[in-house]
Formats: sequence, structure tokens, C-alpha cells
Amino acid sequence: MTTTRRTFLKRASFAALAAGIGGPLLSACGGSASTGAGATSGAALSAPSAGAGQLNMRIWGAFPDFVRSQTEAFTKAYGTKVDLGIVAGDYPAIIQNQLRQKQQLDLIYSLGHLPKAWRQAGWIHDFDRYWAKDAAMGEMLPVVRDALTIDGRLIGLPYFAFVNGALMANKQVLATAGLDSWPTTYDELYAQVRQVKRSGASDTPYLPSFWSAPWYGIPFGFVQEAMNRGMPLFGKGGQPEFDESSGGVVDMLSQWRDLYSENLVPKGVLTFQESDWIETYAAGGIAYSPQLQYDLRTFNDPAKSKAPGQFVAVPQQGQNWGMLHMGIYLIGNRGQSDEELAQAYSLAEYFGYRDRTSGEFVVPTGWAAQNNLTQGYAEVNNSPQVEAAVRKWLPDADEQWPILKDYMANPQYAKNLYHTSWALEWMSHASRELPQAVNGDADVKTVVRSLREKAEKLIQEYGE
Amino acid sequence: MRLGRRVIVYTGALLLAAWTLIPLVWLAITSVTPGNEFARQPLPFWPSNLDLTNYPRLLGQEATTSSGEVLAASGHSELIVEGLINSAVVALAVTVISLAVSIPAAYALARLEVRWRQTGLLTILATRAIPPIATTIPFYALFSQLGLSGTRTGLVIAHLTIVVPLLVWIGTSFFASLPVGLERMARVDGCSRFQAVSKVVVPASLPSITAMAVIAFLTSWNEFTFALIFNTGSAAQTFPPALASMFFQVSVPTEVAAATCLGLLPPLVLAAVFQRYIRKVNFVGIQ
Amino acid sequence: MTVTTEVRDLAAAPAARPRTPFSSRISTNRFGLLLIAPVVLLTVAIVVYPVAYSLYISVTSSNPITGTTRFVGIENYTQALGSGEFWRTLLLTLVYVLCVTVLGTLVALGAALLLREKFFGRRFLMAVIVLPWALSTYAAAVVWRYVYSPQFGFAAAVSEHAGGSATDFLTSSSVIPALAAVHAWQFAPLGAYFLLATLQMVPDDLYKLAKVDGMGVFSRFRNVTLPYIRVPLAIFLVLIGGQAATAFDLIYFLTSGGPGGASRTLPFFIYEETFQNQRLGSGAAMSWILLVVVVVVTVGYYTFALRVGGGKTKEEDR
Repeated sequence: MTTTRRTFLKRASFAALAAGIGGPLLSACGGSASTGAGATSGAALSAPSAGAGQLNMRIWGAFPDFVRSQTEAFTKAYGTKVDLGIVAGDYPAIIQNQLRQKQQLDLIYSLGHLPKAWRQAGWIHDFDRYWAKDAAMGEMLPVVRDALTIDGRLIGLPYFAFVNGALMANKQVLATAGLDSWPTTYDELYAQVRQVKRSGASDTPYLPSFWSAPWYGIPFGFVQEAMNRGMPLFGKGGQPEFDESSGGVVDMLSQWRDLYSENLVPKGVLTFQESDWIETYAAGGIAYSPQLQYDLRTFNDPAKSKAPGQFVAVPQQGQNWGMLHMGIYLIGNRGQSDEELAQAYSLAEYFGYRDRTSGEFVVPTGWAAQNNLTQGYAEVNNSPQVEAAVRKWLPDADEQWPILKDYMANPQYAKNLYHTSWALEWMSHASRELPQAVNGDADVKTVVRSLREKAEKLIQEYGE
Repeated sequence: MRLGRRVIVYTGALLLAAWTLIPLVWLAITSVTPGNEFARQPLPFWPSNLDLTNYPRLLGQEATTSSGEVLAASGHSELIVEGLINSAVVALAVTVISLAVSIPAAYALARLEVRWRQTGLLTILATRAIPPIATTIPFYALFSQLGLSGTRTGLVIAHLTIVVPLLVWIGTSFFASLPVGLERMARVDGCSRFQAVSKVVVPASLPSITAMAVIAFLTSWNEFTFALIFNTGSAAQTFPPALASMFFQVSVPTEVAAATCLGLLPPLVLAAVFQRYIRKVNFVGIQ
Repeated sequence: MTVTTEVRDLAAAPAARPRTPFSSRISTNRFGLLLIAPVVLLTVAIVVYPVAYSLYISVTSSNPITGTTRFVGIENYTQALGSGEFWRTLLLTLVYVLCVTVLGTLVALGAALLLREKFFGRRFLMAVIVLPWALSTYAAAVVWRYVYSPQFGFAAAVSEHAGGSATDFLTSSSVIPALAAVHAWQFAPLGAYFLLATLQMVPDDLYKLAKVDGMGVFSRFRNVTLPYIRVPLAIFLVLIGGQAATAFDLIYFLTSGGPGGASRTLPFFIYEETFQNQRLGSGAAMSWILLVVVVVVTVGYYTFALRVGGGKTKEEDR
């Protein structure tokens, strides 16, 4: 029986191999077809005078109805049809699979740590030939411009720019615990968290980004907290500057381990999904949580929150809370003509810069005003329209509005890591290693060593 | 029955019913729990008032709450509705094609002395051991070249790779268990061989074929890996990835529960209606 | 197998008549091949092709980001077999398969033994136990998220009402059994149905005789029931074990392999290598190792179980 099956399988597969079915297709798999640098070369294009064809836009599942209303508005104004698709699940993995297969992806969402690799693989166009490149870059927040410049080229336009790990507080819980001063460092924060627990005001007073499914919550949390604490993580070219023998990162992870073992954090936090992370904090009863800045609105939305009006951002006094998180519009490279590229630029411009007919920031202002999704342009974030919209729901608005502005004034950005070709792989490695330091499955030092060794190995493979 | 035995039997029956149904019932309850009662401490087993608005909102309608507030359609409604339609179309196509292909083959493998019979059956069994995640890459490469990725046709083809071997395997044991006299009588009555099969054998195995159809439909409706990797983000996205897209960033758990219930309804109804046929399916195969 | 000879006989007779339809004119073998042809074509096109292709990928190493592709022979295989991570993952897969198989079999067998009895509500129970099977593994994962969640899960509701606090079911020590329970929940109905079908064939007289002989419940199960269900049970084990070994959706959705890799079985590892890290060669090589392990274990077990089981049943028949 065994022999029959084996022989059959062997026979069949060798026959197919001999027929050479496999060969030609490997090139379709990306490898040999792409040759490294994906620079978009040629003179600047000019904005298309009329719409043509259809553009495919792929996004993750945030506010699809808002995006759809905007693609419809774009089609109405410029005549080009837009097919909008929402990608489920592990977005980076699925999109890079589609890019590798040269699918028609005209405009795609991306986070800051992805484009460098995609550019090196030749899967995306940069914005070097975009007609309003200089004007757009001139208006960007300096840190955003820096984040979007890879190999000296503008890689995409900003979809959002907010702080990931912005420290949020639930006033209700803090008042019950009798706390009336803001923490200014992580040590103070963790001391307060323990105080809240002792006071009985909350059983699990702190919700960290310890989750690791499926968008790598915990590596972001790691990079962010380490940067806020002023620890060196990655140098030029992504060279790791941390190790298991010097304190720093080891101490930080040991503190995380204590938070977990003292039950200061909600149960099941390690297997949360992003939605659980947000919903659990919105359900009330937790004092502090580093969160995405824009979710302050969700936490104060009566439809989604149990304690609307109680959630505020903790002011930054001396150190930053959180780091810049970039959403980026990228253009897929499938060898399209200048004409097609210009149409894609046009859509990207409509979403990520000014509507060229009216000269207004139409979509960015919509995002900022309706969803509190701060943008890469100071003019949008500080516009009276956005401020008025935010003040409508923001508790203690006179006090909080300047705090929120301060978060975006000088945020840190993990550029040295994000601008490597291996950031995604390192992050996915870290998302498996870090939880083991937290729950005690592995020694903190072992985890730190593994994180460092992974980076060193990847640098060897990809170069700096 | 002695009393002791009865106690054991009824306790067992209750446990089995609870184990089977509680997760499903809990999901249904969650889907009609008003947002402000959800995740309260301690968790209520039953909400104090029912909120049915999630369902119309997911199907793209406005809904009015009991307090008279009008809620807009869910931002995900278009995806969910499109997903349900795509799933139905793909599953129906898979059912029809796989039956047309599998029934003759299963019949031949069960009834006729065909050379390579054993090899054929073993190959079919072997395909069941291939992890789906392993075949996605080759398919994706091929489909991209043929322009099939992101289409319903492509997904139908991918699903056939799973469904056809399964149906042939099940069907073979069906036909092997039918009395041989059937065909002989038909042939004596002057039927051709094809007629003997199509006019006598097939009608006689109608319950089994119904079960095969249900299994084909369910397998396709439920398939996630191929659907996620080939079709997510496209207009041909089926229900499972559409549901998965609701879980990121901002989601409302009661709304997700309602969406899941919508997607569960077709398989649950099908399975409940046809369970007496499914029960007879012999997955054991022939020996 | 007696069937075939009779069919052959009747095939010979009408073939002699003139103007017979095509299907009756050709030899049995050809008629059979004609019927099987579509499946063969389909199998070649959609099963053999990807399998052969992934075999090809598995002997190459390509990095789409740096743009290199080269033939590496069996390097991907030796690398996988030489890495501690791979073996840990494989071991975890085996533990998972074991958990799923044991839990699934217990539930299936328990349900089948129960449903053989006559009791009020039996028909209802018979109908509803099919429901979990009708769901996709993916949907089952969603359903069980709402059971396990310490924040809004049913389990949390129960323990809170009982005065306790919520439990985290997905910790590194409990995640495998917790996932296995979901898998068993979903797959056991199938086993219950076909074990029941076999159990119903056991003549009641045998039990009566056994009782007269003074056998207890367990000894009756071992000596009367087990010989009958040995073969279907063996096959159910193969089916559920194979399912568990190749399971991806459930883990992808409930834990993404976490916490910290505690539920990262081989199919999930293959997904990570292939889609997250874009190491197609390594992913394909590991798929092949998984396939070989599954096939070898299945065939070995199948042969063993059938030999042992088959012998027993024949004895009983006499």
C-alpha cells in the first residue's frame, strides 16, 4: 500500500517536473524578474486632463464606508473609476503576496515599516515623478517628510500620522483611586498602576500593547517604550544597539514581566487582537493604556464606550508618550505606462494631499474632523474646522486640545528600523519572542539576545 | 431502564446538548445584546432588552433602536452582503460541477474492474493529506498568470481540488454498498450502460447524492484559506474573509457576532434539514 | 469485491448485439476509464500540478526583496531538519494532533454510545449535533472567541456568576488543549454519526449474553462493543488526526500562533515562512516534510489498525 502511493506520487511529480510546468512560473513568483532598486525614473509627469480606465485601491478594514464615499467623489470629479477592496486578516503578508504576483494594485495602504522592502523588490513606484512633489513635501510635518523619504525619494503620501502609544487615562478610575498627578516617566506610571490596584479602584489597572496578533502589537509597544525611555535600539542601517548584558531593554522587559505576573494587566492580553485591545479599554475599569492617539475619539463615543467623557490623554512632561505611526498611500508597480501612473498619482493626490480642483485638503480634513485621524500636514491638523470638530467630543477640551497638539509637535520615529528591508521579518520574529519574556516562558535575557541575533542575521542577508 | 441508567443517559444527553449548543446560542445572544449591556460585570446571561438593529444594519438598511434612535447601515454592510452573494454563487457552482464529475468516477471505482483502481483511490486519499496552505503559492502563481486570482472562477477551481477528491471517496463507498442486481435488471430491460447508471443507479442513490451535494456546498461555503489568499480585497471576496475584515481596528463585538450569525445561517439550516442523509455518509470508504 | 465479477459477466453479454449504444460496446475497462477521465484530468491539472510545483520551489531559494533565486538542492530540507525551531514546531503539532484526537474521540464515542440508547429528545439531539460540523473551522474559531474571551466570553460569565473571576484559556500552557477542544467540538459529530451506524449493527443478544456471563460495563465495552467499532474508530482517528495536523484557520484566527509561539504548529509556521517572511523555498520544503509525516503516519497506522481490527472482526463473525 505504502509503496503504491509513494511510487505513484513520485511518478506523477517527476512527470510534471519533466514537462517543465514549474519552470516558467517561478519568474512569476517575483524572484528573478525583479532586480533590486525600484526607482521610478523619468521626467515629472503632469496631471491628467481627463479620467481613464479603472484604478484598484486596496485598504485594511478601517471605516470602509468613509473611504468608499471618497472614491465615489473622486470618480465623479475626475472620471476615473475606482475599485475599492478591503483586505482581511494579515494585511502586510497578503499585500506583499499580491505585489509579488504583479497584481494591479494602484493605490494601497501601508505602514511605515513596509515600503523600504517593497521598494527594493521593485514592487512600488516612488513619487519622484509626481507633479506636486515639492509642494506636498514642503507642507508636510518635518518628521512625516523624513519618514516618507527612503533612499532620497518620496515614497508615498501620508494617509495618517498619529502617535502610537499615546498614554490614555480613565479619569473615573483615577478619581476612585484618589490619584491627582500625572505620571511623567514609565517608572512613575507603573508605580501609579500598582497604587490603583492597591486602592481597589481597578483589578487590572493597565492595558499595555502586549498583544501580538496579527499586526504585531507587542513589537510596536517594545520599540515605542524603549524609544520613549531614551534607550538606543537601532543605529544607522538597522544595526542593533541593545544587548542582554547592558541594563536598558532587559530592565524594561523585566518590568513588563512583573506587570504581567502581578496581574496588573487584563487576562488574555497576549492573545488579544487589535480590536480587543481597543474594546477592552473602552469597556472602562482600566486606569492607563498606551493606545493609538486617534482612538481617543472611540473611547469617548457613547456608542462604543462604557465611560464616554472620562478618557483623556496624559500630558508629556519631559519625555514623549508614544511614537509616530505612519499610514502611507503607495502605488504598486506592475510596469504601467506614464499615462496610468499619472492616473494613480492623481488618486493618491486626492487622498493624500490637496484636491487639485479646489486646492483644498478634502480627504485629509475629512479624516481628521470625522475620525480624529490626524494627518501629515500641520495645516490640516490645526485648521479651525478640525479643531471645532474635535472639541465637540473631547472632554476637558481647553486642556486636552493643546496636549493632543503637543503629542504631534515632536514625535519620535523608529526610522532606523523601519527604513530597513527586513523590518517586517524582525517585527514578526519579535512578536513571537516578546510575549515569552512577558509570561515567563523564556528568560528575559534570552529573548533580548534572540532579538539582537535576529537583527544581525537579517543585516547579513539583506545588507544594511 | 433502571433508574441509575436513566440518570446517566439523561445527564449525558444534557451535557452533549450543552456542549454542542451553548457556544452557538451564546453567539446569537451576543448578537442581540445592546452595546451598553455588553461586557458588563458580571456578564449577564440574557440582556435585559433585545437589540435587533445589528441585522438590518449589516444588510445595508437603517435601523431604529427601541429608544427611537435611527442608526445608519453598518460600514461593513456592503462587504458582508457581497460576501454572502459570492459565497452562494461559488458554493453552488462547486456543488454542481463536483457532482457532475465525481458521480461517474465514484461509480466506476466502486463497480467496475478498472485497472489502476487501487492507485486511483490511494491518490485521492493522498490529496486529502496535503495541507491547503502548501498549495496556495503554486495556485496563486498560476492563477495570476491566467488572470484567475481575485475571481469567482478561480475560487471555484481551487475549491474543486478539495471537494472532488472528497466526493469521489464518499461516493465510491455509496455505490459499493448498492445491490448489484440494480444494473442487471436495467440491462435486461434494454438499458444501455449509461442509461443503467443514469436512470436506475442514480435515482436509487438519490439520498446519498443529496448528502454529497450538501457536503460539497458546505465545504465550499466554509473554505477560508484559499478564499483569504486568492480573493480578499477583490470584488469576488467570499463571506469568510469579509467577516475577517471586520476584526481589525475598530469593531463592535455585538455587530461581529451578528455578522457571524448571518454567515452561519445557510450551513446550519442546510445541515439541520439534511442531517438524516449526512448521518448515513460513510467516510470510512471501501476496504 | 464479489461485485466486479458479476459486472464483468453482464458486460460481456450485450456487447455481442449489433447497434448497441457506445457505452455498452466498449470494454468495461474503457467504460470505467471514460467515467473516471474527468476526475483524472482534474486531479492532474489541479492536484499534481501544485504538488509538483511546490516540489520544484522547495529545491530553490529565492528572496524576492533582494531579487535572488538559486537552485539549492535539498538545502531547504536539511536546514529545516537541522533547526531547533522546526522540531519544536513539529513536536507542538504532534501534541496538538494528540489532544484533538483524544478529545474528539472521547466526545464522538460518548455521543455515539449515548445516542444508541432510547430516551426522550433523542431525535432532537441526533439532529442538532450535526451543527458544529456544518461550520467552517474559521467560523468555529469566531464562535469560540465568544466562549473563551475573559472580557465577554461565556466561560467568564459562568465563573463571574459563580463568584469567581474570568479565566484566560489561551495562556501558553492551556492554549493547545483550548484549541483542541474547539477542533473536537467541530469534528466529533462526524465520528459520532459513523460510530453510531456501526454500533447499531451490534446485535442486542450479544450484550444480553455478556450480561449473563456476568461482565461489567467496561468489560462489555471491551469485549463486545470495541471489536465492532475498531475499524471505523481507526479510520475516524486517521481523519481527525489528519485534519488536526494540517489545521491553519483555527490557529490563525484564535491565537496567530501565540502567545509567544505556544500554539505555532507546523502549518502556521509554513504560513509565516511563506507569506510573512517570503521564504517560499523553505515554506515548500516544510510542507513536504509535513506531507510525508502525515502520509507515513497515516499509512502505517491504517495498515496496523486494519490488520489488528480486521483479524478481530473476522473472529467475531465466526
